[in-house]
Amino acid sequence: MVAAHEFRPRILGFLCNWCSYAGADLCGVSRYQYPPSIKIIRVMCSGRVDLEFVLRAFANGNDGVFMGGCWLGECHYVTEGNYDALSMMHLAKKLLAHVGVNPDRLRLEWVSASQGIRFAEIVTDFTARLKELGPLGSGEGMDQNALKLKLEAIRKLLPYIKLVEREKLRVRFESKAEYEKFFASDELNSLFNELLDDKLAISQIMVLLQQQALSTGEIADALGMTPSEVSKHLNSSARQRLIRFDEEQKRYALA
Amino acid sequence: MSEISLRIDGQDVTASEGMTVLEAARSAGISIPTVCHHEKLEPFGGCRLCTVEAEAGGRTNLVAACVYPVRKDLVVRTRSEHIDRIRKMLTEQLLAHAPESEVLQSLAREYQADKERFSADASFCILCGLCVRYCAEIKQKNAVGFVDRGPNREISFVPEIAGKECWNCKECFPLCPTSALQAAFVLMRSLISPSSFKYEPKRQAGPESVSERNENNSAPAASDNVGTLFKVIAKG
Repeated sequence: MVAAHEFRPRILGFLCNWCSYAGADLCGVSRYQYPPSIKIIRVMCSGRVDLEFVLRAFANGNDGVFMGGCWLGECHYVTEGNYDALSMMHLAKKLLAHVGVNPDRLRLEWVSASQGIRFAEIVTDFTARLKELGPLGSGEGMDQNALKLKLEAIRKLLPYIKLVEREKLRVRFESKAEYEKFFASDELNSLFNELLDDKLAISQIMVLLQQQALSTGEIADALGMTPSEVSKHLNSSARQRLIRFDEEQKRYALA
Repeated sequence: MSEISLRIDGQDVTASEGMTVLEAARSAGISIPTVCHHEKLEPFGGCRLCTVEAEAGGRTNLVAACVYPVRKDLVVRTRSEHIDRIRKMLTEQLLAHAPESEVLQSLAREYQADKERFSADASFCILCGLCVRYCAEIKQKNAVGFVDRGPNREISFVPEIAGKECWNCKECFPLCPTSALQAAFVLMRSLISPSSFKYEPKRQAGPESVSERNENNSAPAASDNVGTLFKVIAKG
């Protein structure tokens, strides 16, 4: 018999032009070895990496997304984009965890232009971690289609999420630890839930209903929610005239 | 129309009947802070920042100047320690929703309100109703309205009207003292935007589950369309 097919993770890497990309370049020039699992996209600054990029990478089936930037305080731009990247990464992890994707699949690291070996170490380590986690979706025990639907629901909501982030969740701290503390705080969690929980669920329902009218039970089944949660969201979105109850089909449909 | 004379902050003011205390004060150049008030719209009395002390017939009441009609020999005080305290508290409560709002920040400076006093609230909307009333009264489109009640009250665009009207109008946007209106609009647009994603419902795969269903259900399963079709043909 043929040996079982070994899982080789696919990673998409966004590296900033000034530090991480140069670091990866140095890594190559110095002939350090690392697994060939990463495909690199160069961006001018890690702050350029948008939430949409991360979600699209996962929607396209990448098992992990890597972001590399300059060390804090060493960004080559006055806007200090790596702080934005840091805060975006935390938000993205929250969103991924919300739809059941392991947040470890997204990783942000600082690699300076002189740290070729560090780049090789990080990619090796990240690849090993992704091997533990398994392929995206099946590693989480999720149906591929359900996962894609959930990612699509977040992407659909991105303009709103960005606005909310700008108004409510934007912070600027000095150190990485402070960001971690802030994004793990109860205050942020309750804010996040109140702002986005219902909206994300409604967005999922809207994506689902786009193709055909469904009953509460069918929606609950497809999204892995309880029927009572679904009917709560159906009620509120019917009140907002986003959806309507089709009397003939006895199903909910888009308004 | 009969003239009514009253005193506002020790100044004699003449107003015509049917005016509110706020209008009378503004006509005399006395300023009273407001958030939910707009000259072109009907008074709403939602924010209560225009609260003043009104003394008539020996009794002093706290009233909202924007909805309280002028009366003969009314004595109004627009600033006092008590009123300032009320306005400070109201401003702090509103700031919990929208700490960055310019309107609220200038009020906070005036009344020494602390924007951190109450923990941040998830909703940006302070429910001033300016957008809702503007759309209903001036544009007469009712594209945006209040939904739900009490603490769950929020503004929401009506997709079928907003889809036609709002893109070329947006006159209510500059009225919003926070960015809640923008958020509601963006939310509505992103929710109704069609996505190219196609969801394929998961199949009840696996031989055991299929046989199980066949054993348990004598009637054909809903997804088993071909089977139903054959039966119909056989009957016909």
